Amino acid sequence: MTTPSDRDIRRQLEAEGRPAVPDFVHQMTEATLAALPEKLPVQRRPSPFKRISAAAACAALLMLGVLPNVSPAYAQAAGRIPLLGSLIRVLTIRNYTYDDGSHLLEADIPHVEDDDNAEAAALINADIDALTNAAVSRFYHELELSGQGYGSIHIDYETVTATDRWFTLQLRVTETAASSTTYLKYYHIDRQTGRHVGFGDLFAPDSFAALEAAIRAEMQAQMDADPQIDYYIEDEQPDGAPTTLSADQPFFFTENGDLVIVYDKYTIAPGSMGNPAFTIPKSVYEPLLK
Amino acid sequence: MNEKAYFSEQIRLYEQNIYGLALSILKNEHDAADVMQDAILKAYSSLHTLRDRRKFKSWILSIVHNTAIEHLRRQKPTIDIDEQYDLAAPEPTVDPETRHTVRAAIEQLSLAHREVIVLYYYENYSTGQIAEILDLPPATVRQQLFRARKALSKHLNKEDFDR
Repeated sequence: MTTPSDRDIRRQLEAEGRPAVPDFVHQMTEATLAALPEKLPVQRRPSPFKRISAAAACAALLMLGVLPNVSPAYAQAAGRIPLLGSLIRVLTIRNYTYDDGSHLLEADIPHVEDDDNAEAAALINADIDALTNAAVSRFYHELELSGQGYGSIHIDYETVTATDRWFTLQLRVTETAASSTTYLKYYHIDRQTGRHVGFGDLFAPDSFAALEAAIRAEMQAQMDADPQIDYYIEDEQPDGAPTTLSADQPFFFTENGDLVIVYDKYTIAPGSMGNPAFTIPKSVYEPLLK
Repeated sequence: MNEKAYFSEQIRLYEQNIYGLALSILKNEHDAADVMQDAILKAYSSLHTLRDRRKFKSWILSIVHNTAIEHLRRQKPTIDIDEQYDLAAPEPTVDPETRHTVRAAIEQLSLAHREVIVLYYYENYSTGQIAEILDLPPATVRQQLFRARKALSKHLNKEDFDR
């Protein structure tokens, strides 16, 4: 026959009804719900890069101390990467591995050493420790809650910019459970001022609209060029996620000084598009700097 | 209402939707039940990641989809599940004298086509929303829906719509 119309299919399915939930399935659902703990196993904020409490970090470390099959190897490990002569170095200070066939943890935790800007490096290292400890803690909470399930956490890092002006370290956390999410965090040292800076230190909120206009133009250009690309523009954002920039917006500068704005997965595009990034030329963003 | 009470209420509200999607992927009620249990546990442990609670239904269906695909991978490790999304439906033989239900015809479709049809027609999601649930580009979903409708027609007679 010819392809049925939407109306035909909908009408017919309505007449036939949905598959009923068998009694045994319903009973299993109720038993599963009854067995859930009263409190959520992890009270996590939407992004692991938000500030977490010192207590949570301490709890995570305590937990790691008693769990089996964990092999934190301190310092001297792989990944000693000399940068910018002897001034700034990135070290793998810990790595965690756990693999039971269903749950996988692979984490290389970096620290930054900067002889000239020790205070900035210390701030960065403290934040890295807090959020990676929290991620590792989540992994073990998940392992305890659903020992039969599947999940993985992968943490690694990369130096993305090393110029006379900027040092930028990217930390990447990929968590896979029900779905896969990758968070990117960028740590910057402004080598002219010796400060650890964030997006809000460089751009005032009243400049966000102009930057956002440049991003939207690039989104549209990419969508026009490739029909497989789809960004949520205007009112199409999922979960009400704004494309509006924020003071803690992930970003970095390229070697030639262009600004790259990075978004978390799912926030402005379907998850299949990963972490979208948009380059804003120096000529556009420079007049907007504080 | 505490988190567990809220979560349980939502699961009960969407139990039929959850079961329907799991069944459409796995085609076996016992496997669907196992996947539902697993998905409920995963969802509860990830509830803090649900930013907008009005999106609970699409969020839980996305988890059910991922859990069911994982289940298929474990069950049939020699089959490339991703490849299943690219396979055309097998060529059916339709007896012109027999009346068929659309639901039975959907069961004959390939995995990708079954899922898209269920989400589009049973759950009334747009192709954009389906893309979000299945983590696929919207253009891919539109293409799959087009092909699924076409494949569906091969499993049905015109008379099946005239009752």
